[in-house]
Amino acid sequence: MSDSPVIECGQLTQIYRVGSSEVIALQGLDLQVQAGEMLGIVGASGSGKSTLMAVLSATMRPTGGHVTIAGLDLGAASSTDLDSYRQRTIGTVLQDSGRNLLPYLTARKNISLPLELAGASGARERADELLDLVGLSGRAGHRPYELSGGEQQRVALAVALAHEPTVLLADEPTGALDSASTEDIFSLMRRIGEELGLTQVIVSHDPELARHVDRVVAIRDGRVASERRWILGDGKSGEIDEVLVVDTIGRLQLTEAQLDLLDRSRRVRAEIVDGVIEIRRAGEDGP
Amino acid sequence: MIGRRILAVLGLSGRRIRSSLGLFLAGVVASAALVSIWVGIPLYAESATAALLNNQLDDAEVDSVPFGYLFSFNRLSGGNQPAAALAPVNEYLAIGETPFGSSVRSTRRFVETIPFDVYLDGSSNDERLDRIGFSSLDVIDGNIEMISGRPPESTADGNVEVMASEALAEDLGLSVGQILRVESTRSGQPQRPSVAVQITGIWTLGTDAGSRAEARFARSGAMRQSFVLPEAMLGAAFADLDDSVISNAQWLVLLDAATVTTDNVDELLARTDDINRAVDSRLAGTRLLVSPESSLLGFQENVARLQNGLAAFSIPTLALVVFVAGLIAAMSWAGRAAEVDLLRRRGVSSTVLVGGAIAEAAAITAVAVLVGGLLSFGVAELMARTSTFLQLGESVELQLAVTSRARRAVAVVAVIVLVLHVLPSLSVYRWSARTAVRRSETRSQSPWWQRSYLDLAIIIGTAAFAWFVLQSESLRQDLLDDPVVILLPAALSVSVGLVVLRVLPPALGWLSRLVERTNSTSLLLVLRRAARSPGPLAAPLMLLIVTGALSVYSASLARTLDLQLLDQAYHEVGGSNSIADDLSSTGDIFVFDDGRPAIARGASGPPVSESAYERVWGLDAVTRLAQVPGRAEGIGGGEQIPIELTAIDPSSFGGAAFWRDDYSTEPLSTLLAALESTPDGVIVHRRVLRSGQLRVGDVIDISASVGDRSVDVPMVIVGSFEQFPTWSPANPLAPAVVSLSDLEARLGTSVARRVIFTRSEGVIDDAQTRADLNRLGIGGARVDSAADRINDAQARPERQGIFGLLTVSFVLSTALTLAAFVFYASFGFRQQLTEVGVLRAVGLRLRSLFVLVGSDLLLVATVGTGAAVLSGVVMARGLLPRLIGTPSGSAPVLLPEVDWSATAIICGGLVIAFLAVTALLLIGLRQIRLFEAVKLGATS
Repeated sequence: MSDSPVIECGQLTQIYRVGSSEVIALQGLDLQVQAGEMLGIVGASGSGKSTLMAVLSATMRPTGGHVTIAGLDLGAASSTDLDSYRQRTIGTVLQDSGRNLLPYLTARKNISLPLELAGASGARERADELLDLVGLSGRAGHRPYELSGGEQQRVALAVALAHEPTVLLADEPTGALDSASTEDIFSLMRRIGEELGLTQVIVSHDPELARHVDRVVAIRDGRVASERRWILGDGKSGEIDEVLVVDTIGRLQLTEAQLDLLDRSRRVRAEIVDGVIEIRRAGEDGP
Repeated sequence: MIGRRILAVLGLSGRRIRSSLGLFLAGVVASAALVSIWVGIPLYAESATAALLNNQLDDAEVDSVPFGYLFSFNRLSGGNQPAAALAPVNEYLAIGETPFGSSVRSTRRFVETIPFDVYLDGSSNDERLDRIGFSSLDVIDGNIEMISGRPPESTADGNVEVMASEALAEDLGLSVGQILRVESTRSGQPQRPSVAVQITGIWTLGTDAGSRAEARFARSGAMRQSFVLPEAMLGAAFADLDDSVISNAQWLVLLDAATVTTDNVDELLARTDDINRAVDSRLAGTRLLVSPESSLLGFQENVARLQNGLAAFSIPTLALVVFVAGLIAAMSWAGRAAEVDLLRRRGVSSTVLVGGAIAEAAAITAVAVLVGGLLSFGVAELMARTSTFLQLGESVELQLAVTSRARRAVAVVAVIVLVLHVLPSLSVYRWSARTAVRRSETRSQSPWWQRSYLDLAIIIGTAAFAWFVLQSESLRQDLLDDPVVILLPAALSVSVGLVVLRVLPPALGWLSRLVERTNSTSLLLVLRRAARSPGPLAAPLMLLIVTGALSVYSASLARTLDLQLLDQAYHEVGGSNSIADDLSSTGDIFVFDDGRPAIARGASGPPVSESAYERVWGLDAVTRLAQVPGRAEGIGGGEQIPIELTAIDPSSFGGAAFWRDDYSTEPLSTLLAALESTPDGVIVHRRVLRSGQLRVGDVIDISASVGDRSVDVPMVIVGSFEQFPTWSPANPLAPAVVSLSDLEARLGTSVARRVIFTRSEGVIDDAQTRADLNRLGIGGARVDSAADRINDAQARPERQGIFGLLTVSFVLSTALTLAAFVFYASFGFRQQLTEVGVLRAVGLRLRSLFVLVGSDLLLVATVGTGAAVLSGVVMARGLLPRLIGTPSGSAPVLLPEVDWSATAIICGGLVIAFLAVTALLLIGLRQIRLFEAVKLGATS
């Protein structure tokens, strides 16, 4: 993992309209992902995870702030640049295999198609190579409906990697899978990421996500609220280390437990005492 | 790299087509239907007009040249010429190297010499037979027949052989083998040189004369009154008598109309002047007497008129086909949101995606143009064979030429099909995953045009259009010039569909509140869904209503026109046939068995009996009729009313003559009985009653005269009528009908000059009638046949074209209606799979599920068919009398007729389709397991 960020979001804001109402999906989100890092994103429904993925995969332009991936400012890039970005820089995997694979193409053809449409040579060889990588060499001629859910996601992974992207974006890649298949997919992604030096951003509801990735970012109300890491202890056991994230303009989101501790008071006092910031309910000891 | 990309796009398109072959084929079928009609019209218009031109050529009168050139050299303008002077023109117009192009049918050349004095060989100069010219015709084939001897031949020994016409031989008392002495007419030469000619044959007009135009010279008096010799002998034969013997020459060039197309008309027209100049330069004084210019211009005009008229008539059908093709295209793309999203996320650019769409659309277009192009020949043939609505006549030989008009039509329709299939893809490519999801959510809403009140604007516009058309009352004589007859109902049926779609949801909501009180859960579900989410119903209902209503209307239009044609023909003839004597003739009469005179005949001869009539004609009934001008005057003075005194035989008139119930408020039998039972009774046209302010029961003075005999008698009006067979409203004389036997008794002479008869069955043509008449010994009588009139009218290209188009449209519309229903059923079922699965999961019994699916289809079928049939019938009844009407001066009045058999076909077809589709869906429902239903529904 290198120290240079491949993905960099600053005060990312996304507002869109649904019917007659406006939805503020992202409210000044800050995020950095280092090259080769495997980042997980968690959050409740409506927190802004999918919107963030849509922005990162350039299917939605940010309303405000900036987002730069592999040096390309997605807010300012032309549509041709975005096509090229989607074609070369990123690979995407979604939860629904119907949105990852064309039902009327074989596994091999699904993998080679993006390369062929990009005019690349050796697409078939590359497809066979990737099928081998995901352990599905024997299923090259099968169509999606002839594969199991886990196999479909493996093919989807191979499709996403076909053009050798630098960033892999996966939105709930294991959402429709059982725990064994989930374990397989995450192991595979970890292995491939390490082999190819891939930067990966994975959205998931899996509570064990932190065990599979380098870092988990929790999003709440369109902002990064906290970060979690799996700290290995003795033997096979480990624990989650969670830290709050202060954004670039100093905003901080407390955890539910901390809010309870403050009696969910809407007014607090923050003071620096011996180099430590203390937060108290306003009026507890004040004038 | 670009090549690989293109191959990849084509490969993807190919695989997608293979994966959804059903939709691809549906798109091809709808598009091919569009192409076939679009291209079939110009093909038909072109070939039908050319066929008409050729028919004119065959039926041309002796002196007319309907379609060709006639050049004439005359000594008055060019002076007498030696025979050799004709050679340059002959060479120029030779058929092998003709300057007219490939469209020459045949040529004829006729040359006349100056007159010579002709003597019998050995007779003195005082015994001149006559002063006669010689002539030659380059082609002597079936135009003439030899009565005796043989045709003259060219000889090298100086002997000159000629033939004489039967008339000339009879006039001069000539016979085969005789030798004549021919001398110059120039006087003052004591020892005039002479030439001996021998008569080798006597000729008369041939029966196998080819076309009448080709026999022009053989029929001419110039040839009949001259000695005919071989053309090659013209120069040498009279060299000793005169250097310049040619006084007249004519060249006839008949063009083959089958090879004339709109492509070469301009070229042919442009050639005319050049040819004229070229001929004149080769032989001074040669003029173009007849050119095909007017025929060619007429051809061009007729093709354009026919094509434009038929195109206007085909607008509703084409719009329907476009709608269906567009619906299929949209349906095909609507299911691809996920695919587009996937490809977009993989970085596939819009250009590549649109390229793929174009590739697919091009594949559909190519197959549709190929199939539709071939079908268009069938459509044109079908139109040419159509005798009347849904009825084909005998096979016709139609020369279908693929002209630039047809090629243009192919190009235009190919672009339309391409755009139709590319257009939906353009909007799809703007979707992101988010909008695709939203689209599926909004699919159940009302369609956009309803939400933006475009439907109300269309309804108001149509109402204004209808008001304008019905107010204008400018009825055209020719249906082809009045496409509003079909355009207005088309617009109205669209409006009916829009109104139904507006009214249906609240009506179903209200109905569901009634159903709530029953235990029918399935029916309630169907009604509520249709009331709250009418979106999916819009397309199939609109299609059912518009196609159904238009089919019922157009079938009724065709039936009304058909019946009107039959009524008009029978009314004008008086029955199925009539024989009328030449009114100028007098003399012996043609009588029935009982001695009653039937028809006056010009020449005396044995009377033909009524039984002979029956034997020869196979009649159902026969009656005599006399029509003479006369006057009527109310008793006690008043204005004299000019009348057509019509004398009939009341006992036989009812059986033989044509009569329609609306001709009088009283039945015909009542009128005839009153006429028969009342001495001096008369039944009169209402115009007589109105003019004289008379009433039934009044007495009027009737006067008439035939030759030197006259009658003037008071008669009692025993009935009245509005219309009478053979009488036209344009006739200034109103009919007054009396008993024929009474009139003849008063006049003391026979006056019936017309026999009307009704055949039991079958159609006879004019030639057959004439042949039968000849067998009866009635030559010279005018024969009128309703069947012939009908056949002639039905063979007119514009009528044939419209009926052909209506037939094709009806078949297509019915097929579209059924296809739309089947489409709705199958696609609707696929969309309902999730719901079906969920309902089964929550415990809905299979029987209730059957009711649910069946009720859904039944709702669409009944509402669609009901609205379609109702609006079609109302439009036929209400609009036809206003839009077609009866041309002034013609009779009888048009009666709108609803074609119930066609309506039954539509309803029957839908019932069968409904039962078949429902049965299939129910079988499918029984076989689908719960899990499959939910899973298929989720992934479909």
